[in-house]
Amino acid sequence: MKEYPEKKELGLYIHIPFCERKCRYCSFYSIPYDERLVLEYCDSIVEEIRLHKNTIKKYKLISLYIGGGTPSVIPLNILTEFIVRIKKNINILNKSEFTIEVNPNTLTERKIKTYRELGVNRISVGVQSFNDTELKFLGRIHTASQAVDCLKRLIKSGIDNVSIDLIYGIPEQKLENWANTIREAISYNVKHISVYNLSYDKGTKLFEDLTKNKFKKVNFIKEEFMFFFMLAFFKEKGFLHYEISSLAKSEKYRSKHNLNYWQDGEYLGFGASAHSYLIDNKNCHQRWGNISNVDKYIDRIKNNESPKCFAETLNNDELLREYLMLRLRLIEGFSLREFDRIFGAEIKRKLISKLDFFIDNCLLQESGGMLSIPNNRLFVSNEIIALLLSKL
Amino acid sequence: MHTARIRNFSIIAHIDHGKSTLADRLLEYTHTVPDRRMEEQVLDSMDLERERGITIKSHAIRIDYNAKDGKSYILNLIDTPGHVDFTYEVSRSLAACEGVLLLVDASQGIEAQTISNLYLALEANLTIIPVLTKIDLPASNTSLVGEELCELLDVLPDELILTSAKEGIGTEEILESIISRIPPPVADDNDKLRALIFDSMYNTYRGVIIYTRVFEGSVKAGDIIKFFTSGNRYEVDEVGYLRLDFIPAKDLQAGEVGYIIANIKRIEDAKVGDTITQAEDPATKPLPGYRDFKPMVYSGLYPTDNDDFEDLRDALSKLKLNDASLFFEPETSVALGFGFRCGFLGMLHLDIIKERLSREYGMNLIATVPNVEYRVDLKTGEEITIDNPSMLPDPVRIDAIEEPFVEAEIITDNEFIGNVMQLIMQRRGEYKTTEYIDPAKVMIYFTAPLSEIIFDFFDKLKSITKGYASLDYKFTGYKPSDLVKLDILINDDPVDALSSIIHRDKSYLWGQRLCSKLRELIPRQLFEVKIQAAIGARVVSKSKVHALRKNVTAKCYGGDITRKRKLLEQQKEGKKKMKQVGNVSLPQEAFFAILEIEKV
Ligand SMILES: Nc1nc2c(ncn2[C@@H]2O[C@H](COP(=O)(O)OP(=O)(O)O)[C@@H](O)[C@H]2O)c(=O)[nH]1
Ligand code: SF4
Ligand SMILES: [Mg+2]
Repeated sequence: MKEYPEKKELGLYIHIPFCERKCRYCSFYSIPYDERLVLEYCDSIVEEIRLHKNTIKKYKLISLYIGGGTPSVIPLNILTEFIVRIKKNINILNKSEFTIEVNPNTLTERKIKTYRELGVNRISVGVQSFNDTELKFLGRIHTASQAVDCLKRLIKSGIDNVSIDLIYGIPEQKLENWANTIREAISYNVKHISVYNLSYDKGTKLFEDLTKNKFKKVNFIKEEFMFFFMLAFFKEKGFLHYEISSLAKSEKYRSKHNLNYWQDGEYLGFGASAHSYLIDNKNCHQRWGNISNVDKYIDRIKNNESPKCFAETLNNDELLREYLMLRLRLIEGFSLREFDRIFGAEIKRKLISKLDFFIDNCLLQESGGMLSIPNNRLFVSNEIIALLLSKL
Repeated sequence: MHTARIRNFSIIAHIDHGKSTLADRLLEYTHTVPDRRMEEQVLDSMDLERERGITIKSHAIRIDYNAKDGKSYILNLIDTPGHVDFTYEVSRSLAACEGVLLLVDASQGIEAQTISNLYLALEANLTIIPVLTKIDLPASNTSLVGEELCELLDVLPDELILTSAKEGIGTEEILESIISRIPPPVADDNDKLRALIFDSMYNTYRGVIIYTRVFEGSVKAGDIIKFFTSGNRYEVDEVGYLRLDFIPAKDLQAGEVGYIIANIKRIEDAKVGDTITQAEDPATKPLPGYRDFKPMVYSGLYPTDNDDFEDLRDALSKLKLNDASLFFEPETSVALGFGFRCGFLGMLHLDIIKERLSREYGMNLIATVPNVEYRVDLKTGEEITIDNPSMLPDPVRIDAIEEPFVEAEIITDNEFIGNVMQLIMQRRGEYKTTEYIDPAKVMIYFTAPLSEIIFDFFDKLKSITKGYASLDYKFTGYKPSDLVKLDILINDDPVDALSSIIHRDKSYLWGQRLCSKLRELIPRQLFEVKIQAAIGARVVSKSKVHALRKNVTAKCYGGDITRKRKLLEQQKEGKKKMKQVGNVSLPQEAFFAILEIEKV
């Protein structure tokens, strides 16, 4: 394994695992909002950040992402103090991307204003759909008109970089409703769109209801159609499709924070169930994750114990797997040159020797030294990546 | 004179009747194995043997026993495998003995391998001590089974020993009767050395370790020995006795069982069945050798990744070191690339080899449909043998195809006679006779093509007899049959490794069933997969697997990469087990599909 070029950039993630109500499909770690707990939780996060202060100093912060859960449920006074205390420990540059995730129904004008004052420059809105029946099916707490109001408020507020999430493949979702949702999506000058295929994760209410046959899944052919239709539509409107499920109005609106995940960048995650990835000075690639329980997380931090629930040092095989898995999510793919530099000539030769099969069968494409999955094969990208890995 | 205190014996029984457990009791009772090393089926040392609870290789161990007559004896016990695939191993062990314990499970009664092992013991002219075991079981029927056994062996009821290896009943009686009934070896130390190799194993540090029974003469370290068949000479490094470990001794004398280490590098150089003699003062004639054995089932083994071909060769060679019955030679398949055609004693043997290759050597393998060996008479008058269906010449060149036949016997309850007869007919069998062992139990004799018996016949038999049936068979010779080659085409290309040779009358139906089976077994993938079955140019059936439409991670942000990577790892591992044929990935199961289809 050759050395990575020293990456001085770092992303920070803060997990706020509180929501007003659990959505039916949600497999994230989140619990009902509880003010006493939130206060303690924020204290613990500040403490955890303090513990990593020296590490963070060695890097240039490129992004701060406050995600969840629903960070916007936190009352403004608590959030303000929280951010101010964080900023005392770390140096967030003005040009760092600073995102907060919000739910359409809790975003008041005052909140937007305060967020801006705190340095937030990107807002990600969990719209999911502009159809009330679908929102209800998903168990979302907001309505379509609340989403519209929220987006209008954001335009007025002058926040430039707004991103929305959309979900397709919802049972009984009609093609025309999906078409309406994506049409509506671009009427509010959003700069970034993340489009997700509804998934049925074990442990969710949705999964349970599926096994009870309460509804029928949308079939693959229709899902595939929805995906490609959406892509064609947004691209026609000038959006740049840069990752399987992400589109941006232009290069500069690509999510820096997420790109960092996909491009093997380092990041630290704070809070319950947050994940981190660092390359230490011995070039060991470390991943770890915090325990997914707010009470235990708080307890551990209080008792000076590590909140980690797992940690691993990646071996070369694992690195290779992650590299291909993440890079091939990007539409541009990865550069063979970089691959060579990271993994060495021998494995590159092996890759090249297996490449003909993939290229002849239109499973991969090469252009300008970049290797990527052709657009029309994106819907089976995991299959292609797994097949490629099985040959290396 | 010392041979008067030696007894060489073996335990023979139908599988699962309790040989290994009884051996445990004998070893325990005589303190042959230190208590701390005693565990169940202590002689079964291979992991696979322990896991499956079966004995695969023969094992030998020396027991010191102080008998009631006040004298101490040396008993050499040779534990043998019970599965029909390994009959060959049994016959090797028996040649080293003077007597056997014929063990019968009192709850199961006489079964097919009881009979066939008995046959081998009689053939070797051994003393037979009948033993009824598992008498502790509530389901045991000691008097009825005892009567059957006495009748079969023409012995009196008081010659029968009743034991429970579980409760340790009858252990002493067995040991005593071994001494009183089994004759000591007749041997003369002063004769020229003749020692039989009845097994051998390979040890990385010491080379080949020969398990031997000295019939005449003696052998010690420093002797120059010679093998009769190869003529090779070696200087003996060490001789000794077999305990759980190897115990060096001054010499091995006539009548004794033990091991010889002589700096032999390849197991082929110490052929089981060969006779060892002194190079300087050789005996004139070898001991009678063993029955020749031939592989019964052939299958092509291919690495899923062609780059692993050499690794597979290494692994097979290593397995062969300790398994003389494994046959392999390189072959090429248009579809699968480079691999090996391998010959096995039976399906269990095949299964075990496959499993050991994957477990002990980490090989990802494809095994092709197993088949028997065919003889083909060509119009030119030439005769060729074929151990791979895809090698069958064009039908226009063929005069006749002959396939191996077996004589088989089934023991079952008489209420199942009808079912069994029907099965025999469906499998192209020819019924011979029925004998009643007792009013409720029958033995049915028939002949049938080996190919109809060797693969799934026994499973089928068990299912139609609620498990109350046992089977034994032996190869008798080749006979012509009306056979054709059934080809499978994947996306219009014939896949040679999926071809099989079957009877013409069944070909059409099997073609259809094979197609639908393959459709079930081949997973959806990146391309549509078209499946066709054809005999010659005639397509007899078609089906297809639609292309996979979706396999994508919906959402991949938040830093939890580990879980997603592990999911991908699973998918990758799944793919590694598959073989790429053209642009289609075929799982191992697809190559065995023909064994899975309903045969009638
Ligand atoms: N109840 C009972 N079970 C026994 C006895 N002897 C063996 N078994 C069981 O029968 C099964 C087969 O025994 P094993 O020694 O492996 O048979 P082998 O295949 O002939 O070597 C095992 O589960 C033993 O525990 C016995 O005397 N009584
Ligand atoms: S708002 Fe988001 S995090 Fe909260 S329950 Fe719904 S989907 Fe899950
Ligand atoms: Mg056994």
